[in-house]
Amino acid sequence: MNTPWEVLWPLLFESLGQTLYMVAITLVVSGLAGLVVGILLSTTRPGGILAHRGVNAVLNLVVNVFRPVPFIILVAVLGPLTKAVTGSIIGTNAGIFVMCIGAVFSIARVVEQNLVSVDPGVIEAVQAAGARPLRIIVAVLVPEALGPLVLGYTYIVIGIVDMSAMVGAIGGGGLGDFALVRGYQVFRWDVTVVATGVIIMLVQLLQHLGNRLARRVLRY
Amino acid sequence: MSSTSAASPTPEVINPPSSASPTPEIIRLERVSKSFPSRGGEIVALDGVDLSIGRGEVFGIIGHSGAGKSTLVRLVNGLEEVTSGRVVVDGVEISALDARALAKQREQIGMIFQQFNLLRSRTVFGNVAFPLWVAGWPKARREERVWEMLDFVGLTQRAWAYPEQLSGGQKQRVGIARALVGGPQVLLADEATSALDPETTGDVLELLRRTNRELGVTIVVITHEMDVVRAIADRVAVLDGGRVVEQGTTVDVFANPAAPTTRAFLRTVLRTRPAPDQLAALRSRGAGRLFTVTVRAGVDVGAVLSDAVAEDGVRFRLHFGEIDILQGQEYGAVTVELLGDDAAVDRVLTRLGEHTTVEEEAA
Repeated sequence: MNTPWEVLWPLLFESLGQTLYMVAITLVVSGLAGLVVGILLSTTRPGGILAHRGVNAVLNLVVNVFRPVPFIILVAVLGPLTKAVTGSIIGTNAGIFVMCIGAVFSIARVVEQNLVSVDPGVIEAVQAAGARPLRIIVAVLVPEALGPLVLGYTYIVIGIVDMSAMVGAIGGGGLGDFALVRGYQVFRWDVTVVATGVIIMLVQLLQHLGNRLARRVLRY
Repeated sequence: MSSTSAASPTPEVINPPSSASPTPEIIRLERVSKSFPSRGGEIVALDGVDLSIGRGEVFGIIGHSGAGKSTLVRLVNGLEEVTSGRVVVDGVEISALDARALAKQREQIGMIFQQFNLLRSRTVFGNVAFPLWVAGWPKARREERVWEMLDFVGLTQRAWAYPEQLSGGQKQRVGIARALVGGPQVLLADEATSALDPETTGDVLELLRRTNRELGVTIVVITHEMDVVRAIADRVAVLDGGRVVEQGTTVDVFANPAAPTTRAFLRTVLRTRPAPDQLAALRSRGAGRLFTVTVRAGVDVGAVLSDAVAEDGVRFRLHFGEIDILQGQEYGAVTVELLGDDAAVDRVLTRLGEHTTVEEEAA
């Protein structure tokens, strides 16, 4: 069986484009939303600068409900909501929506962990200098934790690439879809391998960029 | 000025006459208590503390870890809230302010820390500029003021360095510049030299002394080191178990320590009494009785002993002791052995006892 590469190469690049598009949009949207949720999770903890037992408990509950759900199940469960928001339960936009929901809670936890590890003495020092909570968050907490945050986001991006491969299942397109539809389902093992290789290279590249950025922020 | 002495139920407070500040008061703590909730009850960190600190003073607060001194200093800038009592700084009741007003008030109260607590993400310049940025100073004035402060602490050359590129002493200088940049009335120093080596400690204490003298800033120094108190404090309060067990001018407290805690602290800087094994060695050698005589300003222990030799036929030997001069005043103690018949030795003791404290080192 001859593999028609002259047809598949353009499709592969198109799929790569779709993957990058989905990952980028998801990263920006869930990255920002997750940052906010993560900040609230960490600052509303007991002893935090916005300590609030109720808010903290509710946020923790929501995060803990969503995070353990396997992504492919989340795609199914969120179906009606996805349709309400994006107008369809299949396609790239539907995929992006589900990916955002799936990613935001993981990002929130990563952000929370990194902000909690900021030296409380530094927070105390800026409070003593008259800084109020919003300023402490924007000018102290996030900048002080920036290096680990960059690494955390890098870790998440790779998770998002993983999710983007799975949204192929709902016709979201992308490299995962390509590998399954053009490779696995038509018994073209070589196509599956090539698509997988492209995914691996993408992940390597993203990890490398994240490491470099983190090193720069941490001034190593 | 010592406002609530009548209501004070703390009989352990010694030297009450000197508890009032010698200059107009800038910080007052009235019946201040602070407890923290803990598993199975609460921990009392401070228990009915009264303090009055004068404008322009360097006031030392000494205590062991857990004595409540870090809690106490955090009540002054509202980082901790009182459980009961009042904290007044420069006429403003800190304990009654809302969050916004408290943040504003903190611009008048600088603070430095044992671990420096600098922002890792900012340069020396950025760290020092931070409080001015919070206070909303315009950029040009802010920069001018930061350079002024960097010059004051001697760090203009390191303005663009990051904290991890600095030595401990330099970090604390940045901390001091940051604390002073807004022109505060009060500087709180929480174990500011405890993470530094002795030489650097001396430099930082000298900088604090300059801060007090040249800028007129009132400094509250929290420490567990008597050396720090001796080096810069005008007055000192000794904190133990959440209570002030002794306070007074540094000279008075060093010369006449009354509370056991104070004496224990003094032993860390002044070897005024022989240890039990040294005492045993002395006793096995000598025939006479051993006494420890306190040396204080205006008491000529030497003269009394010389007279004793001449008049009573009592001889003495010096065995142990240390005498130091603090702010021009002698203080310390010596352990002497008195040799002679009992009646004559007792006469010498009576005469010494008229001038100073004498304690027999019982066998």
